[in-house]
Amino acid sequence: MRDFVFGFIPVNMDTNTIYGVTKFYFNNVLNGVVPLWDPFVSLGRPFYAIAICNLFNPVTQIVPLLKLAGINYANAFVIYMVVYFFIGCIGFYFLSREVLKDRGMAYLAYVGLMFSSLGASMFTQMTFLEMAVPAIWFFFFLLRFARQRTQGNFSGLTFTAMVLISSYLPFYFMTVFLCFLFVFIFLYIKEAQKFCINLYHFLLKFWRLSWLGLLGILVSAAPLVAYKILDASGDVVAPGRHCQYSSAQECYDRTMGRQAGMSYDEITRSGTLGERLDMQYLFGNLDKITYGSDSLLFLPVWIYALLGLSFFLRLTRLTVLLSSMALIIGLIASGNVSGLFGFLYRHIFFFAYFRNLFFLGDFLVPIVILLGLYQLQMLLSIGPPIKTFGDDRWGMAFRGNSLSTSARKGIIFGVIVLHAIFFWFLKHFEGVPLVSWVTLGLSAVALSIYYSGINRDSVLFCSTTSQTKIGRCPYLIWTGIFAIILLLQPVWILRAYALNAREFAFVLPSMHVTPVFSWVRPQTPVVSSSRIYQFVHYEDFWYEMSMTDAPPKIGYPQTATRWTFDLSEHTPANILANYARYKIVLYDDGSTSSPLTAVGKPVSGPSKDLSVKYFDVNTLKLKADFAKPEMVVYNDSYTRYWKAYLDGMPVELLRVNEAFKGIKVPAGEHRIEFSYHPPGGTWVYIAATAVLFIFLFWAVFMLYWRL
Amino acid sequence: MIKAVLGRNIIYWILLALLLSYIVNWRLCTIERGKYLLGIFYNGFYQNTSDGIVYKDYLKIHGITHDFIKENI
Repeated sequence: MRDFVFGFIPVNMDTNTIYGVTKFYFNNVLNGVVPLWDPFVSLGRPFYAIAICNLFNPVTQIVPLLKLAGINYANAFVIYMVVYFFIGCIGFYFLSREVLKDRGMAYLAYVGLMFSSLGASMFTQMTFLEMAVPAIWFFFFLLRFARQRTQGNFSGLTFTAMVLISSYLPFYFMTVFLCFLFVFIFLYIKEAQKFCINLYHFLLKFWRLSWLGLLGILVSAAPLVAYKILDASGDVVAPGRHCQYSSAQECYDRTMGRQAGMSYDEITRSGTLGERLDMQYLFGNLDKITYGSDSLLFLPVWIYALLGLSFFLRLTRLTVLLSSMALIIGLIASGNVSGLFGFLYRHIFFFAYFRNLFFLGDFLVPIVILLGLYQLQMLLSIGPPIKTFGDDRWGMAFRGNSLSTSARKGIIFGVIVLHAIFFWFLKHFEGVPLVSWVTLGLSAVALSIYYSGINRDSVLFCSTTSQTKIGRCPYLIWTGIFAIILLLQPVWILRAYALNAREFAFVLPSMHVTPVFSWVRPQTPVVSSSRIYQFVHYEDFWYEMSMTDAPPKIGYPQTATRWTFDLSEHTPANILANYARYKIVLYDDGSTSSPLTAVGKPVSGPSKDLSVKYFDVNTLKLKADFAKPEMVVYNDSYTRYWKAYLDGMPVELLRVNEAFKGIKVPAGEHRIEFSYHPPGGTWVYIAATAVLFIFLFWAVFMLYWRL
Repeated sequence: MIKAVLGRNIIYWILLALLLSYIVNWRLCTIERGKYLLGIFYNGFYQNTSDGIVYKDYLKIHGITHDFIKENI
């Protein structure tokens, strides 16, 4: 983690994309501009990722604050990620404490999550954090609210819902929540009925708070809605969703048909958990996972052992709830290898909007950790009693039962046999690291000692402490021993992973930039030998981070304007590149429908006839002094939301040369302005950020005062 | 006695395992993972020479060769 925080190892894959978007956004915000347009890539396109990269979350505002404190963007971004991750781990501690009613178990859950693949994979898949962290807190507040219908818990629930809506496509969380609802209602029908009735009464009693919460959710959804309105206009297309694996004709038809959703084949062709998950790699060769892979998914081996040890425990509703959720989510995430996703795709509309089903897979990590530790809690509860803090919140697991000697021997025999079976199971996998075997050995020894009851009077470890501390000591020591057994293997794996990542050493663009209008686009892309770019396309991310122009080509980006994509599909790449390398081209007035090959006068730099007065990502202002009327063509993509002004007065903005912006300018001295005004404008983003801050403070205030 | 046995996790775990083995097309899983590991979606070829020993291990264990790919993908 140290090497990531200090920037020695760059963020990779989708986290690289999100860093690019975050850097672009906050760099512009610190320049005084909320970016709505990206003029540097794909010949100009809407700043598409604004609604899905967690930019409005109060925690994300750490990035500009750290930048102002003198830390560069790349380091600030990784610090923000790490902080957000620990917020998720803390949330998981509270959630586990609510579920298991045991602080020691909650602590184990906290460190278990911290050293799971969720922590390491954030450097390649930040989207996991964007979805999992608020989801963990959502379920915590949901459980708290079910038990204590306070305004504070309701406010916390509302705030986490707002973060979920504003941080990433909410359909992933909705899927997990629907899985939970489905299983919960099936198992806890009476509790579900009671919850609904209580919720109804709460909403009636605190109707002002309820309306305020609804308003907050609507405002936080505004960036997503604004983008959907833009999408519905037809000016924006998404080739990246349709062109990756299809024929050229299918790619064109589906992209221009503006199908925001994807076909079943497009979704399941790649990006599923099925292609990333293999039993072998849950146990073997984990130390060899490369940083260029986003298939890192592992849990501490002791969690699996605990599930194995739980064979003869009493079956409870919580076990069924957690394991059923894990099973259903896993099957959905696996795509076409099971029939479940196909069934849901046919019957529920939002399943057509998934692009990467494997994102759902990381919800499995906290669920299975919770399930495993619940089994540990039940295992310990059949053992001998251990003195605890005398408070039920501490050590529910250790209350135990008094056992006869023969019962203890029987349990110890069972523990050893089940460990032996798990040893035998692991032997079937290649490359199981030594540390996994050691973990299992320690587990067998520790549980045998635990069930033997020799720790009961604390004489082993606590003979010199005061009477009060003696009472607490066994509890803390056993929690510590179990923490060591839990963490031994994942710590070793993460160390190996970090060592593997060092070969990617590279520095991403991270300095603050004030964008400058360049009259000519480069013809060749920037190149890098860094290994991270063997796995992701280099250009788009680099240019977004450095705010410099990409070469004039389109390809199949996640977003492009409709006419620019169309133009690139039927125009030879070299003709488009030769034409669009010049940002400004002048034509005699009236030749607005000139093909790209028509003779225009490309402008390669400022002159007394034409110069730039102001430029930011949303606006270009020019000063013109032509001897005769001219058609000024700005080779940046046209959409209906671009406006043109001549001497401060709005004039007609023409779509010229198929995809670009043009304006007729009379002879003489004039001021020209092109500016971008999409639905909602900048206010929608400012409002979303503000309302999230307000609800965060409101929720903290209400929770602190226990209202 | 039967009720006591049915009330234990082992029956439930066995049911889940049977469900998984019935629902999941494991052969397709292997093919999908083979495609992913081979990196054909990244570089357009049925090879990936840059992703380390893990991928080679997978190919070795599951017998994913050029012939296998040609027949199945």
